[in-house]
Amino acid sequence: MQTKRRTKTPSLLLWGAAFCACIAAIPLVYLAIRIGGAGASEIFAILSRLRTWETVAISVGLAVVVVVACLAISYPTALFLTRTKMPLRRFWFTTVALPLAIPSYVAAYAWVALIPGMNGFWAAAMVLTAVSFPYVLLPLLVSLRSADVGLEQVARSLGKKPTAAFFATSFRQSVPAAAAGSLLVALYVLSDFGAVALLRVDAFTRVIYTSYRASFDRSNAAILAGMLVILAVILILLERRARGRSLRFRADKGVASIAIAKTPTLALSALSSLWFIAIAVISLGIPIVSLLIRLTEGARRPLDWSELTTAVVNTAWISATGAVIAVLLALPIAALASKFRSKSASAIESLSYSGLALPGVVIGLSLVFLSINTVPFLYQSFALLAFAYAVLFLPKSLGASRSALEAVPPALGQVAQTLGYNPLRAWLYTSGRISLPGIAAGGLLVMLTAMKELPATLMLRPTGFDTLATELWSRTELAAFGAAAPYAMALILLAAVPSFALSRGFLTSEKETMVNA
Amino acid sequence: MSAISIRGLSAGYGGEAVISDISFDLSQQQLLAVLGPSGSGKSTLLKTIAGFLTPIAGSITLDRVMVSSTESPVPPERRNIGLVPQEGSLFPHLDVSANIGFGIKRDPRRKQRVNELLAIIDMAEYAHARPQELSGGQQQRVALARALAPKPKLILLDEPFTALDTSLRAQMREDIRSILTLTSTTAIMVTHDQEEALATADQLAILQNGKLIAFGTPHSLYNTPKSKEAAQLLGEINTIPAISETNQSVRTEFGVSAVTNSDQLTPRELGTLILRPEAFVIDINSNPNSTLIDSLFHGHDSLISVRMDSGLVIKLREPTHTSRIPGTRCAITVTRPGTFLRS
Repeated sequence: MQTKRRTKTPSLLLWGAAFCACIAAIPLVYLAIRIGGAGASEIFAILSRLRTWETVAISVGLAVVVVVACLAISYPTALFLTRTKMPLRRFWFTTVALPLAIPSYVAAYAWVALIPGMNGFWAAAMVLTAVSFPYVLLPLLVSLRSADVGLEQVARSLGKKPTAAFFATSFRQSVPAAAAGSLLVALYVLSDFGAVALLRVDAFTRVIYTSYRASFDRSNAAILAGMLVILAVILILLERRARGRSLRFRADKGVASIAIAKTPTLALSALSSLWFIAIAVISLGIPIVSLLIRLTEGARRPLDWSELTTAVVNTAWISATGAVIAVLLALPIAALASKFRSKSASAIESLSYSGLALPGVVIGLSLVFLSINTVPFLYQSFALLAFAYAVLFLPKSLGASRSALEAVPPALGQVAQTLGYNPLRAWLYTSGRISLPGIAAGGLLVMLTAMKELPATLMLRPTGFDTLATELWSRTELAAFGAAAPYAMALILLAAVPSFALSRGFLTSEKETMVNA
Repeated sequence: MSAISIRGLSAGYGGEAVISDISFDLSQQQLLAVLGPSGSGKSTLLKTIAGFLTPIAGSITLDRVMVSSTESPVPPERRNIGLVPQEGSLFPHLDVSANIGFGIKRDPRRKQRVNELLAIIDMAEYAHARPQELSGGQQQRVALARALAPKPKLILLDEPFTALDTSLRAQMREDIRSILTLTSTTAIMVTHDQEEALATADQLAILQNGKLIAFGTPHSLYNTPKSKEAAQLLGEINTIPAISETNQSVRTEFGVSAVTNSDQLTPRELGTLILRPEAFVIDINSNPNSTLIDSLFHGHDSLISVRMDSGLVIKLREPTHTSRIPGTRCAITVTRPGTFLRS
């Protein structure tokens, strides 16, 4: 009964999934309509403006600089962690993943709060590198750890020196993983709004936001958003290819021999420790210390507890609603994709991943246009913001639900059917029931991510509806750094939850590898 | 009366037939083993009987009710056919009792029925164990009990022993056999293991390339095969050129032999005689007619290859004997009837 993928797709499921995917694609489609409505001459006018290409150059340049910096940090870090028994190795393993927990605008805020005059391209590049380098480091660690050192040993036995042997084998095996990570970083930088806005860099997202706020030039915002989406799509496609290659490079677990960490010399120990301390100070230490300074300073003024509580409740409530919508949209698509592989099924799945290519500022913009022009009563409504979260983070929920559903053997549903359950009930009582924890975890992940979302929230929130992110934002804009600190702290604590889970999962696999070796 | 009757059945995926023109009847309370190499269409046949595939042609009649034809097939949940898949098919979130009771949720006597089945599979003390705590054999017994709970008209077993250790298999075969007998259940079991099929089944169906090439009792299919292919799928054979002499016997280089299918014999026909390795006897003291070339030790017996002086190579099986050394001259005689196939 292993031929599950060839059976005919039930049409009800197919239509349900198609419906959900279409709903998720509304922002993308509306953006396209809006750009098309602008007319060829207007598009041409905007494309021929020097300023447009300045924006492209700044965004792309920022992405390139940050990627290069992330690679420069990640390779030595990964080698220290996988190839040496450096001091406090396990501690650093956990610590290097933590910067992921700091939202970019919180990090930017912390730096600005410490050095009020700080701004510009290089400041943004530094802050974005500090928060995004784990995207390169983590896959690189996995790759270098699972790389078959047997090949390196073969290269040594064929007369290569250790460094040459490393570059000829393990390094080459790690390239696809590093490439996939780099593309994720580039996507992160292109989509980031908070850091570039706080540090006053005219990258795509900031320009789109300001021209939307200026409101006299909305076609400009739409066309720039379209260009940003195209860049993001290119990055996603490249990332998929790189990831596919990295899978092909993965050595067979049974025969791979894992690198044996060497005890480093005293000098190397000192050097590696200095390296890790420097990384930790820049990516974690300075932001946290700055926050604590502002917090104690703020504590001298009375904190408005009711305001903070309202923001926490609002944030939790709107994110939870968004997460529920995301899970509901994801379920039919995940059920379809986990069971059937047909052209229509994979088209539906790809369509629902559009959130990946839509930075928050683009989704915000598209939904603002849509609501003003077609459904004015939804403009700046709670429901529309929750929907924006659902579309933005649908891929997270979809991925979690899909892998949870795929883990359930299809024979279970068939057994339930032979025991008198119709297909829907059989699915609910077997696949649905068994994958519930995974689906719920996906929903929780959406909720925790949505709590940190800034640009779409700024553009779509109902008037007077404040979340942690918007409170932090408005206080920072007024340079009220002390008053912003409690909100920044609350955001870091919230964001730490998924990163903690991530790094713990990472550590567990590390333990297993050690036992096996 | 037949429990299940299949007529001209063809089925497959996307209009492409994987099995074609299959017909057979199976009586109540019999166990049918469907034997075939991988890719022969065994699983497709099982899926079509269970109702997960709609046939391209033909029909399936269960207890005189047509359940599957090319139009309006009865869906799986209303066929009353039980299914025991390969392995790990217990619901992981339910304990043993809940697994067994899964299909009889609305039955007021559910608890009683579950206990009855727990006793039948001899696992009463595991009522509240989780599937993960059970051994592979125990899991398969629970899967069988779960399928039996709603008293199905037919049970389908999809390679139920493949996931088990070889040492466990023989015991499991006996267990499943006796549970099916005890509950008077008709069953169809799919397998690619000929030993398993011969030892377990009342009836045997051999599938090859989606066609039914033999159907009958294990005994008759083993001893009186209808074709060389069907004979080979049930074990080692020797094919010896032969000519029929009378209505009863054929002549080969071993002299005159009796045949198992004498009813089909007419004199003076060319063909081959199919002989199993156990149909020969080896004797090193008689007038030699052959040379021993190889001896494969299997413990309880050995498979011995000899080259006849005519050049023909014969494989024969005999209780392990110490003096079977390659190069020894020996005499080979046929002691049992074979099956004559016309060429």
